[in-house]
Amino acid sequence: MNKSRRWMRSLGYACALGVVLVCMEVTVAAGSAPRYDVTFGQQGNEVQVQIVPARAGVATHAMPAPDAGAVTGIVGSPVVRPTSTVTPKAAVPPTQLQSQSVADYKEDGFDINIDTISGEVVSGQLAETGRLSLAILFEADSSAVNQADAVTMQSLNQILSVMKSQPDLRIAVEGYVDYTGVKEYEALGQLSDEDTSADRAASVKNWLVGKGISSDRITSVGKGMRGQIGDSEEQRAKNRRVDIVKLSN
Amino acid sequence: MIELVMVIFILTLVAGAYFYIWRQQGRLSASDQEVAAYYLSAATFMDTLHADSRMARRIEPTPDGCIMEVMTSGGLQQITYTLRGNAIERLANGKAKLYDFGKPLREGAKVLFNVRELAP
Repeated sequence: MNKSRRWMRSLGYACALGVVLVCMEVTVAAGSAPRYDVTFGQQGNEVQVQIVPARAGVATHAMPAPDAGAVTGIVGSPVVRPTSTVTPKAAVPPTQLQSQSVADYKEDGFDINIDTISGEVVSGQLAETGRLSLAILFEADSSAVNQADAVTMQSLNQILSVMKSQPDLRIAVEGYVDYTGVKEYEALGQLSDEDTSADRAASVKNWLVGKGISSDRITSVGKGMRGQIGDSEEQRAKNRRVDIVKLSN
Repeated sequence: MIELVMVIFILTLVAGAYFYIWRQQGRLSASDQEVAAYYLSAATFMDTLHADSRMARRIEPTPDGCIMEVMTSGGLQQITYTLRGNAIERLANGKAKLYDFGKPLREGAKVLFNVRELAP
């Protein structure tokens, strides 16, 4: 009887110890988890919350009281406009993407000068605005970087040199396509514009990784046809772009 | 005659001041309905943001939003939030949703969207 009691007591202690250890681990994990402060909304009436990945958000700030007195009742509905995926407006003859010269890029509307795409310009603009549009051309039938294109390679080499000179710099590569690109890929039976732009962003990332940049420093995102500048011939060239976005450290 | 001119002058001043105050009040204050609609849309957005962050494995703040790596039943997926003018766009799985916060409650108030990592 005594033996059995002792056994039960030991088991109880072991369970209690287990619970304590689990609690300690959870506490340590919670302490080390990154937290993000999110501010959104209209100036003067912005809302601030904290979010933690893989965990429920923690509201640290109550919504500010509205200026116009107490809200007496909720009238109206949230203004959430779903924007469906954009369908091409008209049949546009597929453009054969070929190697371009600097003059061609200028003709397409890029304000570009191969001599001024220097590392200083790239790092300066990233530091100033956090975003940089690069003239990177892709083959019509693939998402591979067009290595025969001088301006594309110049742009890539500059971002490469900036990343090498700034080991703490982390970037997101955002790929975009235009209507024409979508038509081409539809004709080829490939997937959506999102997949195409994601593949293109990934190929830029892979190129940089292949040159010795750690993949942890680069995130690639496919933005599809979002952020279209326009639909004229020269604006479409700008739509077909890759943006480099500086990520905060 | 002078008295009449003075009366008209004073009346004009008073009417002008009254009109100015009335117009400023109209500009600066939003109606209860607009305020309620604003906070309702803010709550809707916050709900979506929290739902995404609960599934997120990683969050990368960008200058105009953030990128979340989210584990779904279909595998690892990216959700991006981007500030687009006076609205915030959520792009996931090829579908975009615009969260529009409606008419500015204060004159010229822009929509902000800022994500920053807090120091551990």
